[in-house]
Amino acid sequence: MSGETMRREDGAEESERDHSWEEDGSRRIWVLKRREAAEDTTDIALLVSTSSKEEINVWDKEKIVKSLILEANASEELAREIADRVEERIVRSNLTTVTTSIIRELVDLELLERGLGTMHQKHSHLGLPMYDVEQIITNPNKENSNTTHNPESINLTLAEAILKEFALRKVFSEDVARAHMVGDIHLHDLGFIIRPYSYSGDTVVHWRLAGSPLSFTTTMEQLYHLFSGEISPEPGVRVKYPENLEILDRDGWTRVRRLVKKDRLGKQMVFIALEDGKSTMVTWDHPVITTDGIKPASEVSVGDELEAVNTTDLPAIDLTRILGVCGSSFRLRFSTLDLILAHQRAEELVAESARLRKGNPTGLSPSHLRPASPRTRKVVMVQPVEVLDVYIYDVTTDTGTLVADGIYSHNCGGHSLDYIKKYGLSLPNITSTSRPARHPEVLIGHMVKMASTLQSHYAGAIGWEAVNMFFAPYLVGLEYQRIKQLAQMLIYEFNQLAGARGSQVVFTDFNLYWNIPRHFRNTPAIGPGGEYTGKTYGEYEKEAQAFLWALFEVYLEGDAMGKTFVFPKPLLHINDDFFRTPGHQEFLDLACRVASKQGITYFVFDRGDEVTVSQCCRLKLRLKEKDLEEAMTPEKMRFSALQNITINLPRIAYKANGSDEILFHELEKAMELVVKAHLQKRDFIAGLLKLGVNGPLSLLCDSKDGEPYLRMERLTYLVGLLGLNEMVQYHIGEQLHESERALKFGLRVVAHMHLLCKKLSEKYGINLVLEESPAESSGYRLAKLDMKYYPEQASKVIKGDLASGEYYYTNSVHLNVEAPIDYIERVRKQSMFHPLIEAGAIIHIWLGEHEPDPASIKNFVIKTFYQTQAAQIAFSPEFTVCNTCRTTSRGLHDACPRCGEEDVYGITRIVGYFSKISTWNKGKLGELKDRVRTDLNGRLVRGKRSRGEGGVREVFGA
Amino acid sequence: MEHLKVFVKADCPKCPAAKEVAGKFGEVEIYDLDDPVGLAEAAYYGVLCTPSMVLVDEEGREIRAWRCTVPSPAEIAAHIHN
Repeated sequence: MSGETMRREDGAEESERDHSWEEDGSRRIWVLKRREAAEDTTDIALLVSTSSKEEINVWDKEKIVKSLILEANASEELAREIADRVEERIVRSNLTTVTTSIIRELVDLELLERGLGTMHQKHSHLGLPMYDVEQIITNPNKENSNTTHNPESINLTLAEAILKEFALRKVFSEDVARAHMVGDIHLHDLGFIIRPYSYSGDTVVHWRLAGSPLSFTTTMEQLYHLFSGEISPEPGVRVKYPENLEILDRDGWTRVRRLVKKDRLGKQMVFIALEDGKSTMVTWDHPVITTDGIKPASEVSVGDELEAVNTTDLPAIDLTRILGVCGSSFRLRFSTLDLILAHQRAEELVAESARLRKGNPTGLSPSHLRPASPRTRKVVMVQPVEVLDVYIYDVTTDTGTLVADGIYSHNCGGHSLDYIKKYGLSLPNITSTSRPARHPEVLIGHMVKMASTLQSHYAGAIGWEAVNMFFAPYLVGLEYQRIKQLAQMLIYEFNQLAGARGSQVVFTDFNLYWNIPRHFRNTPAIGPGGEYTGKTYGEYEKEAQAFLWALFEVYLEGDAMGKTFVFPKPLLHINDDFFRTPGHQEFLDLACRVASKQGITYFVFDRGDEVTVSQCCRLKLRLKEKDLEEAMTPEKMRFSALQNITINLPRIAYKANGSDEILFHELEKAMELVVKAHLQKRDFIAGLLKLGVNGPLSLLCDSKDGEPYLRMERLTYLVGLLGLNEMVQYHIGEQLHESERALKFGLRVVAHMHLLCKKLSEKYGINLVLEESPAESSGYRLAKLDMKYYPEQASKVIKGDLASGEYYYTNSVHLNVEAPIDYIERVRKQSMFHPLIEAGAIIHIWLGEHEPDPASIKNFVIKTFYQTQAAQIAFSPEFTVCNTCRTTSRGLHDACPRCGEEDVYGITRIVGYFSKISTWNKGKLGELKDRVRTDLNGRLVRGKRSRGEGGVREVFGA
Repeated sequence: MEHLKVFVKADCPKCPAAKEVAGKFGEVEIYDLDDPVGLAEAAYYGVLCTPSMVLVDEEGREIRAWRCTVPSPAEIAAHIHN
């Protein structure tokens, strides 16, 4: 402990703690200090600063004054007044030693007494009581059953506790935070509040209108302003989608998907010059293609070699000078005209340009329009530069590259495997960079590590699109045995790397297709070494199918104990083309065998033109037109939701007390509040992203393809539903399964919310959609809060066992899990809600110990696809795993049915994934006991509790 | 007695024609998909686009549906018995 001492008032030195009273009667007060708010976190972690230790200082009133001015923006006068008052209290208290937290509390009390609430909030202290910390260390946290109890998960829980408090006090406004605290809404993953979850204008490019013999040279800024139709998907970002524009790439022309103009926001620009006199200026994080791999501009050094393309002989019409002369008037005229007019005007300018350029600009044939083959040129200068530009520009192309300033360059998250196939692995948090993988094993390694890093940046699941298809180019010519070995490696690697937050495995989803999805059929395939193979993905259907077959064989076998794998969740997409693709019958047989035996297959239904990429428990993001355009450059396909906020529906019914008018009014109020909370989180995350590579989200700012990995303008904002069944039950006296009237009322509530989402999306310029909240913990939390604030009403409809505390609200729009209806009825009714819930919905069929005939599952899957609007279904068996004989048996048992030993644990789906029942929270345990199981032969089995099998409890609560 | 439910939207070009055809068969219920009650009814009958028509019995059970299309009066008449 530091021996540093200071004397109160007179400042005389004193080093013995027990000499509290001075001879003159004055008293020395010791301040025991625990400094959380240190200036430098690194110093503390490295223990080079005393801040991480406790230290003892002698009383110094000035420290209060300083902290009030710094933290709460108090005036010096007020700060001194408060410091005097606090000092008086401490002296009066006769304490010889006070902790800094007591001092802070006393200061806060003074602020509150003066009605200075805002100042108090800024000055307040975030921390945990000793008791809570002890509880966190000794007891497992059951908020998420994917996490085990271990030192890393303790760190995670402690950090989450502080971040939750921080989020509620600092990120969200008081009304939003209050609504969460009392349970009107549930802000998901509050402990993960910090997770979401470019070129300079003078850069010269060469472009033409598709098929036109005329090509032009302009700056990016000029090019941008030539086109009309600007939209602003988010503040600070403007985008145009020219229809027929092509830009020069290393190997010829490539179509331009979009032109982007962004506020530079003070981003550091870097000037790079080559030995042949070419130079360019890009943002510090812009990916630069060197012969040594792709690196951010800030990491390019003198001596690196870049590919330079000789464009000086290119017969393009240089408009840079003309536009430079005509300047703003040109822009003004063209920004209001459409593409055709721009083209005509450009042709008029050709004549003028002839005077400024040597050579004849007319009579060019398209075959001339290829640049000379690239040559490498050494970088002779790299320098950060200060520029006055307010905007930065970017061009997004089909190939992902273009020739800018004569240099071959890149333009810049579900997540696509093509991203790492093309760019290799280069992450801010790892110590070495890989080139694109040449071998499938290496690609698997890259994928697992990328997923692990992504998981540490996102609160939710990491979904991968068309995994079997993207792998296919690596599998050409391989024997099936080898393909199966790779499938096994991929699945085991994902299940066994407990490298995500809190030492848990990464929550991963694989979107899988038997038929190559239409939107990828003509996409140029990327193969070993990150090279385009010259074929399209449509040509790799055979390899993609072999890999898919192998993956499902591995899923069928399970792990070394025969136990089902938990991740990656295989989301098998079924669409019309599936049924037209040869071999689908045999493959569906296999997928249904896996569903029957292991339960892990998720059947995702894409009807009509709908295409989805699923992630998380049932997050199903519909691809929009723009996303489908991106299917041509799949490395760009990455989708993310900012946040999920769930509305406590039963509470709205309690407030409405039978009145439809109040019910819908309260619903609207809740939706407005949800939007407000979303916008607050968006601003907070945008603020973190603005810190760029030095901020905490450097990975998400990192751009290998010209856009940040997290694209704020493409985020989805989720509105979660919880307890529709209990809402309807309280409001009209019947549960959803009990009458058509109740079902229709439920539909009306969700339809109302769906239309409100559309209205609010338009009003606030965001993409707000409904989601069935996975509600692993919120179904319990909100039920508990309603038992606290609305006990009389809640106790009438709440599900589970009130006496044991194992109670819950029914998930999302699901029917009561103990409803005495068969699975066909359940699917028919629940699927009616699915078209209204755009971000995804799932229907669970609880199998219990039954292992239905795969043919029954197959028959049911086909009927569900053709006869309902169900978005996704999954079959969930229950298993008992024996630690003694290391085998897995069907059903939940107290002892192993094979060897009789009691060292067993149970496994089944908690929400959208399998986990050990011993890690479940109370609410979910209550639900498990109520679940009605089916054998798909029309026989229903009630929940275990009602059958009076008390012994099951030990298996559950082990 | 059977009756027709017609699903429409304000900005749907074929919807007036659907209403006209349905109008020939007595009492018709019109549902607007931009209205929560109409959208809920559409979801209940698996209607995802307009115009659509569903012929139901007294209990509201679907007898025949024409989704995203306008049937000819003869087609409708073939399914109405009362």
